[in-house]
Amino acid sequence: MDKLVIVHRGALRAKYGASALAKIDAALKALATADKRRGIDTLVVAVDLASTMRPYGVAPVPARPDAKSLKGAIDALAHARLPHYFVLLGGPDLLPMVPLKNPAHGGELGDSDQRVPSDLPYACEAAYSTDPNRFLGPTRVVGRLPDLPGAKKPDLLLQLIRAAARHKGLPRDAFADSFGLSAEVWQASTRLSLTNTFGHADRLRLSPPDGPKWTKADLAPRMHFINCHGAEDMPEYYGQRGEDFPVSMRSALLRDRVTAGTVVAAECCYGAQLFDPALADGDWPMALRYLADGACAFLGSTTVAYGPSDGNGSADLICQYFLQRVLAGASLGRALLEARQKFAGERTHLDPMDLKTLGQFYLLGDPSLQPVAGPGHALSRTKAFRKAFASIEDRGVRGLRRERLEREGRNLARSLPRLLPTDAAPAKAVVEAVRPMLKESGIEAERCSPISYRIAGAPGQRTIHLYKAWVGQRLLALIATEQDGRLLHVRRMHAR
Amino acid sequence: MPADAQEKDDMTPGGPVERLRGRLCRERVEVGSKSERLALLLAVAGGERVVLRRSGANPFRDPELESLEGQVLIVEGERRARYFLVRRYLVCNDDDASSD
Repeated sequence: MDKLVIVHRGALRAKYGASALAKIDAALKALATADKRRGIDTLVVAVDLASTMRPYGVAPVPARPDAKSLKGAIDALAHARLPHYFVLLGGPDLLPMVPLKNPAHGGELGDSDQRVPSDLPYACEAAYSTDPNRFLGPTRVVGRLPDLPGAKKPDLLLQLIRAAARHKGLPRDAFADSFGLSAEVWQASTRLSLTNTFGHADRLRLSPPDGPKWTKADLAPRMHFINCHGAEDMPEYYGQRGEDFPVSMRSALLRDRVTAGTVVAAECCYGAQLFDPALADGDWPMALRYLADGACAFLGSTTVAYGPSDGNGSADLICQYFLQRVLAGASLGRALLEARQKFAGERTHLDPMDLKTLGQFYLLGDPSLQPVAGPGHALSRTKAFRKAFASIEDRGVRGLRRERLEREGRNLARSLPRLLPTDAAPAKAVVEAVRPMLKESGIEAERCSPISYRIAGAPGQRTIHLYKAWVGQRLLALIATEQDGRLLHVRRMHAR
Repeated sequence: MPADAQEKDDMTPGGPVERLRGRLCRERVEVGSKSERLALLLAVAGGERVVLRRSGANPFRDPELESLEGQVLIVEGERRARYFLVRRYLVCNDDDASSD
């Protein structure tokens, strides 16, 4: 089986009623038919039905769905059916996200998110846990087709299922233009992200002065990259110049302005948070407004996100990797899997902010959709080739890709060191080496005690010490890596 | 509006209506993240500091509330996971601020 659509029929029925459930069933049937034409065998799996789950040796997800049961069901299905795609049908109130502990929470450097709602564990083979260190090696292609929190009618869900069924990939040229939007203070970082992804940053829009009333022509490009502020339960993004934070984008102003098939990556804090519009005076979350208006994918964060003001890091990277893979012709879900693997794999270890980044970004959209249709190689366009591989070509090649991605994910899961908080103080040699650096940076060493993490799994005894202090109006962090009592590496970071 | 330190009644989409009383201050929050900012907080009795967001206002800058920094307020609204949504507020005289 190529694609499993995970549904909780009881939760759908409780939220929308029996007649709505029949409409959802019909829409899913049409999606499966459309998938068949695209070379994808699709199966809808009701994870709350005992009769459905019995052959897989797991209990059904209970009437009130919980992440642990859902993770168990998905793991069993992955093991038995080896699907190329998992689609989670509905928002977190129908299929909960895993509430990962926030590794960046607490201490002077912490943020206010105690938990990071995450779909990452569903993409990993490790058993259920809320420890983000357990999910460093994703192997599965997972995406979520959301519905509207608090809704009484499944209109959005039906619309998105039907849109997925209708979707057709377009030539690479159709994605040549991009809409890039940045808070003015982060323009250097955003220019770098856009250049890395699209080859230039010629059309970058800055807030201030631009937005939030974007025209249809402004938003016409099918690739959107947004690096702005976001806030919990807010249907807006914000720019920044100094202490001015103007609205850069408002969900209500997107109506009838988004081109069908648009792919969005938004770095913003809470950029893809799904909240009940009642909490925002009736305005929809940005991600859902984008999807409702025609976007086929939205990559964003559930919580507070991280990134530097000048170079690239954390959120910048996972967003640009995702768009790069989409442009290279990957399906949406594979693009995210490859982005996650690249993000995790290019580091010796993940610091607390990177660990949070890996867990907090997720895909809203059918993961099997392929926005950029590849032209195929010359042989594949011949009659003889098409005849020989009429029924298995896509599946076979896709299977080879999954094999490689599984191997890569397992390698990451096995080899990436874990980050564990420790009370261990820096070694004397480290203190002596770091003190002058702190002084040079304008930090009083005596008033700056580090937060420390042991890197479990790294060779020898490796520890990270995070020093942070305000210097003038800017937060400055010095990250010292200690190896067996010696200073191995020091990095200085400026927060915006 | 009563001047009790904390009361609850009624319901809103975000939960029960609650009233808090305390001194308004500004502090940098979400440090090092993409949400880092000078936020408005209410320092209430017992030492708790609650991030305030006024309904309909920009969550990053709210000149109306910022102009009241240092004053004692009674705010009415909904307590959400990481902030208090202010629907109404009342500025108190400093002389009344026995619990701030």
